[in-house]
Amino acid sequence: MVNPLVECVESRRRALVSSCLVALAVLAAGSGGVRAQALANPPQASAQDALSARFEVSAQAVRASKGGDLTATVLLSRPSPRAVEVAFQTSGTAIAGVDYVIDQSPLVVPPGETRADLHVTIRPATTPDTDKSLFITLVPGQPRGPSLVGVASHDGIGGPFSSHVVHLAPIELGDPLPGLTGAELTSFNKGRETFEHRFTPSEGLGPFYNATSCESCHSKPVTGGAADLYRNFYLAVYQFGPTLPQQSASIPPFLSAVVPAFGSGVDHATTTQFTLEGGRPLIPDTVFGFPVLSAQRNSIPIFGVGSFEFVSNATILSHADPDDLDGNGVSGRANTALAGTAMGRLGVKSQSNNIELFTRAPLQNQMGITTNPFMGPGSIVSLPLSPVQVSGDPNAPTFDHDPVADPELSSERLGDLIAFTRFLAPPVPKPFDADAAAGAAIFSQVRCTDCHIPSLPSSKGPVRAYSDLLIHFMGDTLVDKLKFGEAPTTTTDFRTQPLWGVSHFAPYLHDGRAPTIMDAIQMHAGEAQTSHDLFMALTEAQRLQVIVFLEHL
Amino acid sequence: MSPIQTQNRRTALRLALVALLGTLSAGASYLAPSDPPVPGVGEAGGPTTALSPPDMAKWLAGRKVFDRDFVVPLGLGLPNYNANSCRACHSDPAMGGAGPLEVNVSRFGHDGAGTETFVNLPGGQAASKLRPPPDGTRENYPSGLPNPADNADVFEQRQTPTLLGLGLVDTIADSTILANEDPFDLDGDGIKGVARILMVNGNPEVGKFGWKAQIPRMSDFVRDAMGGEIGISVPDDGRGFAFTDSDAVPDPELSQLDTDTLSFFLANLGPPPGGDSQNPSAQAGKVVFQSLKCAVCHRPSLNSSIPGVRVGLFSDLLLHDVQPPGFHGMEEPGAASGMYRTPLLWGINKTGPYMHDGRAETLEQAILGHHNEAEFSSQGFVALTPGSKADLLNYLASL
Repeated sequence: MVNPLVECVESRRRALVSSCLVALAVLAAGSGGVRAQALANPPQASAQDALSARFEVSAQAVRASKGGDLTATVLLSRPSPRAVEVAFQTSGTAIAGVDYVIDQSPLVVPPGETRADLHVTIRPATTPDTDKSLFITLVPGQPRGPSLVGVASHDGIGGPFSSHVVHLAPIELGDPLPGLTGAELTSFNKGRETFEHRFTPSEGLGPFYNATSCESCHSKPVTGGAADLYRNFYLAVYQFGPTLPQQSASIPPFLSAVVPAFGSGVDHATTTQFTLEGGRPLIPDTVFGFPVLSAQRNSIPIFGVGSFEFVSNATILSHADPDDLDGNGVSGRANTALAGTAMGRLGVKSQSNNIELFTRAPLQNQMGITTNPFMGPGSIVSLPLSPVQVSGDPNAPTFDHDPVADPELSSERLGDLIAFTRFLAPPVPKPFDADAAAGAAIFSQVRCTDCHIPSLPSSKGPVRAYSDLLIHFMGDTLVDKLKFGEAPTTTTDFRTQPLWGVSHFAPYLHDGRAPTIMDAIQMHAGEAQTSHDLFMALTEAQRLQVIVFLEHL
Repeated sequence: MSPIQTQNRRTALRLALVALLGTLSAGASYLAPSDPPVPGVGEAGGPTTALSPPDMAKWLAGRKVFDRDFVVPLGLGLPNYNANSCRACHSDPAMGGAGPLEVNVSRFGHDGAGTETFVNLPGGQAASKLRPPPDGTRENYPSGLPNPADNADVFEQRQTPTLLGLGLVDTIADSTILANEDPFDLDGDGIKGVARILMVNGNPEVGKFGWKAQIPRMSDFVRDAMGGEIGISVPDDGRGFAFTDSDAVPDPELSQLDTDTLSFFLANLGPPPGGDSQNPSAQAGKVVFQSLKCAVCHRPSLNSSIPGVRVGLFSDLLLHDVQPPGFHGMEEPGAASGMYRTPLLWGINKTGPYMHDGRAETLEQAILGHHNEAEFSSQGFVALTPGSKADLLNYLASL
């Protein structure tokens, strides 16, 4: 008795590093048919892309004693203007031509279409007492990766049928994580539409803003990326109390440390009228007689940041060495709050660990778009009551003084926006050439990897971001004195910036002061002084090899 | 975060996701993409006419300058700046085009809330958005001195106008513009119109560019914008529009060659393509456009000084006051508060938002935002049947 089934054996959320197996056919023991078994191909998360294919198998029964036909449908994620060849492999103890016949290889999806059927003819059993297995595996496109799809045997386990994605070409910047379900992909795509949407005053833009869309500051080289220098914005706070600069607050009427480039009339706090004639908010020298601190920020890319949520606190802490007990000059601190239970990962000072908050905060602070918490109270585990974050209680709805009713973004669109950020795939490294490989070795030798740790384990597999997600002192010239959390060192330290895809995201450092990667390396000091000095002592050719290596990430 | 929290959030997120099968769309391109494909003649961002290979090479070289991301070592900043490339603001719908609200620029001055004579505050009218990092200040005054902007009570934002077709506008003779002036409304239609007269080296010239027609020639615009917006000094041609700056890079920061090719690119950057003008509704809208006297100021075309060439810009290049009662804004000699050059309407469907500060999100809002000299037109629009309104909007969209 043939009992085909398809089962997703692992959470779709594991798609970053793992994936589901698909059982095409199970030929039960005793009937002398072909028996399919689980094929445990270790998938390669980083080899995925926008054009993808998946198997879809409907419930069919073939009696192995009599033989019969199985049909598996290959579905493309989208039509292609060219014919798409979907390669597959067969393996197992079943013998082609004896136990089964497949006469299409490769399977070809015609131009403009999204499906093609794979026909498997099961031949009548010749050896009635022997189980045989058949694996049919879609082969991802070059340059790498074995299949994500296998054929499994699960005696007695019936439907429901699921499907699975195999990617046909390397992932590109802006693509979703591989292995998303249809619903997740829909949300991702809708989220990208909202991410690229230019908000207008009648939709709630303002009364203060720096940008009219998320894309405004996250579009280089594609949506979700970084931004040129002209998209920089200012942060400013005033200091009060005896422990300057740890005690600071946002400048009225701003709701956070973000200083908007555009705003409404002079009476900012009470105005109910959004007006483009309004005064450009200035950064005052003092507030209530207290000194004002200000600094610039350059936009950072968001590719792959969803994976940071799945790096455990323990993993982050395992690299921390706040008192430099090992005496190597590199310390590294976690940006924590709530007695260490909230540990930052996101932002240039690791000031947040929650993508929802990291979405809602810029919506409010950069665009004046208000939202309600998506998950409700208790879901936010980010650093509380930080003036650089959402105003006041991060669990609370955001509000503003323009004429558009709050919240200005619906829960559905906010959810999609969060999904977009969560599901944006990390940049994929290019295959290393000789120079890049040499550069990688030098990168480690000069101890850049002390902080730019190539890979962190996470519950979703390795996160190859080249960051420890800790904050470090980078020398006096980089200090901006702005407090980003409970730890006093947040006034001086910066997070180790992830380096995946780094060549796309110039300019560099928190305020974009470094036009090139080389400039950025040369501006490393403080805890990075030793690495800086070792790097500068290299030959020029070796330094270039390091740059080449970084350009491959 | 605890595993429990993670699981809860995940579960709830799933519930919120809409269970529909989606399709993948290709990754969107950079907002203002660098080095985009070269459009053809007649396409937005393409050259005005087919260029010879050497001219095309020069045009492309100029486009590269327009596309260049300036950095501090190249002279970015006066030290103030608003953007680090021309492309940054002029990108809708193609390189050289208009810009969204967020690349507006700000101006300020003082007029005692309308009770005093307008004065420029120290540092001038422009309020630049940025200084090169790591500078934490962004005002136009040296740190530690009183901030002149503290005394500002007039603020005005300015939208990025499209540069497509600028070179053709540059060929319109001063006398052609002056011929349509009616400063005293002698014809009694309620519409005046006055040319912006600028003294250049002691000689009067008509301003053609900028919201207040404050720039007479395209070559002046290049110097003004490179200096004022990017902080890049350009070789001085003695006409008074070139900036020098106080950063560490010697002036001029743009070479003569780059300046020439940039000017050549702009001079040969074609006007924006129109839409479907043969559409019957648009044809009917054309009649409405005429009957509402829109065409008195938004003149469909002006003669170029090049024989036989008419420039279909939909502007008289004159200053008019169409602001609502009580408006008070920036003043310049020869361009009082509320006086703005008639904006060009070609390609307007792709250059929103509208009006000098971008207050109008749609063309309909822009029409309704016309007052004073344009009161007849906007009131006439309000009185139109829905069908005629649609016709007019279709016509505008076809320009």
